[in-house]
Amino acid sequence: MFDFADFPYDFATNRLVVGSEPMVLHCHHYNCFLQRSIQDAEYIDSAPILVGAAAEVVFAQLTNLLARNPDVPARKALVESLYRACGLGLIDLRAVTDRGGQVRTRSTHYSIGWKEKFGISRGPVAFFSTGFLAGALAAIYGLPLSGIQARQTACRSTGADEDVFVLGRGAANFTIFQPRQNTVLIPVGEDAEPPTSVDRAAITRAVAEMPLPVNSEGLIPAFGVYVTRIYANYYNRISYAFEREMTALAGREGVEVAASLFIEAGHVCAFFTLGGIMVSPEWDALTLPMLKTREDWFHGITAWWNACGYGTAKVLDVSPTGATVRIYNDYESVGYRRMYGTADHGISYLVTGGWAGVMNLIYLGDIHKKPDLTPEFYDRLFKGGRAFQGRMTACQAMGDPYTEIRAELAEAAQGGRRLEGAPASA
Amino acid sequence: MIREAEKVYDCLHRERYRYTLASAVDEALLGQYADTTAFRVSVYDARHLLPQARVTFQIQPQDGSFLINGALGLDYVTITYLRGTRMEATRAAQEAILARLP
Repeated sequence: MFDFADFPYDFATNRLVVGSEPMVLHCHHYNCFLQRSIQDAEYIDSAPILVGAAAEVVFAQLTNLLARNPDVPARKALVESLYRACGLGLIDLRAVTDRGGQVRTRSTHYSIGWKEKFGISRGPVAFFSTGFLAGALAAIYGLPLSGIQARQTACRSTGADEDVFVLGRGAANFTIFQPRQNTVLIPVGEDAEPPTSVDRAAITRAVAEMPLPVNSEGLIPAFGVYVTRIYANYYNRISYAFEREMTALAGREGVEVAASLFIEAGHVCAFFTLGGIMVSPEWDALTLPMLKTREDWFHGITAWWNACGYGTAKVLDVSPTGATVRIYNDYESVGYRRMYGTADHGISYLVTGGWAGVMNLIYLGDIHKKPDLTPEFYDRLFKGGRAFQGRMTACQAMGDPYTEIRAELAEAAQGGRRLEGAPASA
Repeated sequence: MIREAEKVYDCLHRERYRYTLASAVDEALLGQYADTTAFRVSVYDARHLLPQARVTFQIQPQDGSFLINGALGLDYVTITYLRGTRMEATRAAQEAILARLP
């Protein structure tokens, strides 16, 4: 059976690697928002990208994890328990053979999460699970991924009673990506940080080791959201493949459109996941005793961030008007370089939106008063007038020795021009 | 004893309350859910890393009809209830347990 406890968190780099794949924490808001942002561009055929990205990382991981276990039933059991441990829901692979088969389930993170967030959908939305099953079928039976077909024929997000996935053999009906290069990590620097009473290293260690109980549906309800621990390079692949498609269609403007969508996904992540953390009993139990000022809150949530597998964030400065955060080995940069080499523009969108979002929560949203994290509050905080906006001042994917985000308080931009996320250079 | 029951927004369309109690939560609350055939209790003690931290816990019945989050020493717990025909009865039962605490 799979257990995350068998894979120790790397506190030197703040990453969790399982079977060669880095795993990160996100919630159903971020997962569904990011997917919907990509799907909303209807002029791009995104389904093969979404399925292929999941198949790619799952196949790579399981090829590694299953290597020493030739027994098919045992392989299936490990895959089922991995899926559940990630908070993805429940799957039963007993009816699947090397020719494929059908997987039926009433619990899928994306299907349930989508319905909770957006209501009834027009079509199936569990592309991640579809790709997961494709990658799993190939890995369990030692088949080439390019010879697997997978599709979802029913989805709870549409109002159906269950999700149905159909697997088979034949030329892949999803994108097969170019192989990734080896991971290159950069040593974490000894940066001067402002003094704080917050013991960030201890909090990071405590949070990384904190159990996230999985419920009977294979979901992880925590901090008021459904949490998942899934593949950093799934998020990376769907984001950058989409951005490249947009660039092919619209040139530089395509990059701008993609960037604004992904930075907003970072806001969503900050508001719901990090906001949910900061109003939780777990926060009050592990972190609150050390917090005296809003700057301490910023250091506190940085400690939690560093426990999520996102890389190592350091606070260079923080005040009511702005903050500078330096991140070593942010998962976006590390993944981008593996997939596409050195970037010609800043691509660390999650951290750009994420750190601006944290500043909004702490300095404008009075998160210490435990406000309700409603969609209306999100709109007020992120789509109103004054707000913190993030800017990449360095990006590891471009060859810089780290990624750095400057978040500053700004008035609403005139004429709707997006100021946030301007790249380090172009 | 419950001092205040505040309904909290829940984005998963469940019913969620933050119950402020008359005294700090202690082991007596966990004792109410000690039947391991009926409840799954997850306790996390990080005091070896954070001496001033509190022991956190999560309690869930096998049927998943509610979820309690809290920490020993805090003066509140949050309870999230799944919506359904038995929700009011489930809520009443948990509130009765909290009310019985000192």
